[in-house]
Amino acid sequence: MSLPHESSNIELLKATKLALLGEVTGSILHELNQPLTAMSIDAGYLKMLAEKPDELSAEMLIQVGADIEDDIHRLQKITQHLRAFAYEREQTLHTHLKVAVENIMSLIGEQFRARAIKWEFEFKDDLPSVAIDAIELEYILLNIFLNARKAIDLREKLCPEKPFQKSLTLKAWRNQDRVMALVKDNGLNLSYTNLHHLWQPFFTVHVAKERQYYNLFLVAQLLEKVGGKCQVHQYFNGEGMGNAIELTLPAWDK
Amino acid sequence: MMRRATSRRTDAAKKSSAKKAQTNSAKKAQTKSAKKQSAPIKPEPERNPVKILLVDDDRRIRESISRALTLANYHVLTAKCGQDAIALFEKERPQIILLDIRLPDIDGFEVLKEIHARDEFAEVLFITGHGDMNLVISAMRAGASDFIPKPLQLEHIIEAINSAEKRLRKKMQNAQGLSLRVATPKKVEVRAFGNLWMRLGEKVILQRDWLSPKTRDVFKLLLINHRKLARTEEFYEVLWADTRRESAEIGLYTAISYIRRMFEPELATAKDSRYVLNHSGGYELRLGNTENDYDYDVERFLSLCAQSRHAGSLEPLRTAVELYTDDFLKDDVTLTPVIEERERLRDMYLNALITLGRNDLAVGRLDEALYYGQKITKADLLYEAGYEIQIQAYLKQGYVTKAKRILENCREIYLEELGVPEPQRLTALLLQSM
Repeated sequence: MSLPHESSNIELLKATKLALLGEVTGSILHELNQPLTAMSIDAGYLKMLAEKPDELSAEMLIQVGADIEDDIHRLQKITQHLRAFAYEREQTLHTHLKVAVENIMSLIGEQFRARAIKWEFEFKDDLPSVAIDAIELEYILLNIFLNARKAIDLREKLCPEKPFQKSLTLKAWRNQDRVMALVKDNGLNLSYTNLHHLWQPFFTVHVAKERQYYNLFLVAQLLEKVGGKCQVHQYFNGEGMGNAIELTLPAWDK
Repeated sequence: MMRRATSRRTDAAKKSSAKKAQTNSAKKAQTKSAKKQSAPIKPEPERNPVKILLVDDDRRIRESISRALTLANYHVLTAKCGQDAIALFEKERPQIILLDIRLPDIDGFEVLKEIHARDEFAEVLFITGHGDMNLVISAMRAGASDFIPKPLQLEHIIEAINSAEKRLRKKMQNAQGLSLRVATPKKVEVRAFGNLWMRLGEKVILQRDWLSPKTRDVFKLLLINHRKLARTEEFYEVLWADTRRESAEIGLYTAISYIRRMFEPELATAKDSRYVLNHSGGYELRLGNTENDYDYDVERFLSLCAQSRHAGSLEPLRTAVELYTDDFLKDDVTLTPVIEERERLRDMYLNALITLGRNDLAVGRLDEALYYGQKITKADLLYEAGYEIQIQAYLKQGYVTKAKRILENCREIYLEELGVPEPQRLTALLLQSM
């Protein structure tokens, strides 16, 4: 039986996760739309082919069929992944950070591409798996990456006259029985300046007449469950901008 | 097991299809042009395949569009990002560019600017996502020829390409007309539609060649009053309003001397200048003694408009509107006389387009009418006549769906910009046709 404060915490976690997912609906729709668009163009292509029997060949049809199969596979991959976010499932004991990063970027990459934010991820070769549920690790990354995107957006909004090369980086390495990951962006510094509020659920920052969720509540809660931790660095680049968040995750060495 | 079998088949099919695509495109160029097709999606028959550059960061979208357009007799090049697009444009000079507005490296607007800097005739069609109407408006203002909204459908893409081809042909015809008239290079060439551009003999005058922005402003005021008196008092009022008279006099004198030296480096005394003349109460700019000595686009535009009025002929007007490549000295947002002149020229341009469009509608030259209608919309997205001419032309051609699309575009733009729906008159045009 769970204690009242435990159950309210679980509810808060659930609500925070839902809010996060809500923020990525647009980019998920984009990822779903791409294969649909390709299939729609292919449908037009097939109609055109039917009108040009001289140019029609079995290979052409096989090619279109194979491409459509690939598109369907791409769609299924996204929907299956979303299912894992949405429904109760058996938790995994460990996962690999690189896979989690790739999965998350396949869902929200469009938010970065559309803003011309360059991303760079570096994983040391000897990096072991991490002892955490795969989807929970993805939630952690989702929270941190979306924070980075918001910080970059707000910097751009505050200083439109000073364009900059927007960037998000992640470096991961092994430290004894831990996997360390340092995530940096060059947006407006919102993490260190709000250090004491970041751990509250639904904490919002108010910048340039805009309110944005910006907190690490979910990250801290999920890491705590597995004995990991999250640290906010006092990091500013040469222009006085940027955020740096360091994650410590337990390595899976079994 | 099944999956492996499929992927082997896919690779084989890809190779064979790529090979076939290569041979097909050569074969098509020779034999297909004469064939009359009755396909629902019908590209314009081509003598030489038109080169199209498709820029999109999604590999699968690039492949599917490229495959379909190749089958439709186009020569398709693809690029996955803005930098690649510019490099490929430089090398291959495609006539039509399908450009995704959102790219991973540089934004679509930058690419548009780079392309137009290399070829002002290139037709750039933006591919835009749902809800990008603000971007569409900015894109059209930045010089995009058209836009294709997502979700993409092959028939919309081909339709947009067909319209772009028509515009291209029209531009080429008009450009040939123009180049005959200016076949021999003149000693002085000045372009003021768009940003100020000037060539004196062999030398192209660049931004850094001006002594100061003030000197350039003095030249702009002289240019507005070309072959007329530009009053000294006007210079002081416009350029040195809050300055002591002595400083203003020195400023104007310095600028005028500098401009004279730009035109005549060997000039001995001010009174000998043939280009900037001293008059009582002001100065007069003369780019040449006769019209054969110089070429100034705005003056030619005005003269063609006047010629059209006096002769009662529309032909000079057709040439005139092609000279108007952009708004007069468009980067200048501060000098009142420049802004006033810009508005005057823009009104003349829009009126000329309306006259041409309506006339072509009346005599059944519907493609031409469409061309002028599109030009009006490009110059001013809120100008009702542009939509009206396009809708009427499409209706006369029997393309009700296309006419509806124009009305929908107009509605979206009006709602976005003015917060009101499209003018009722436009809706009525469509209703009458049903």
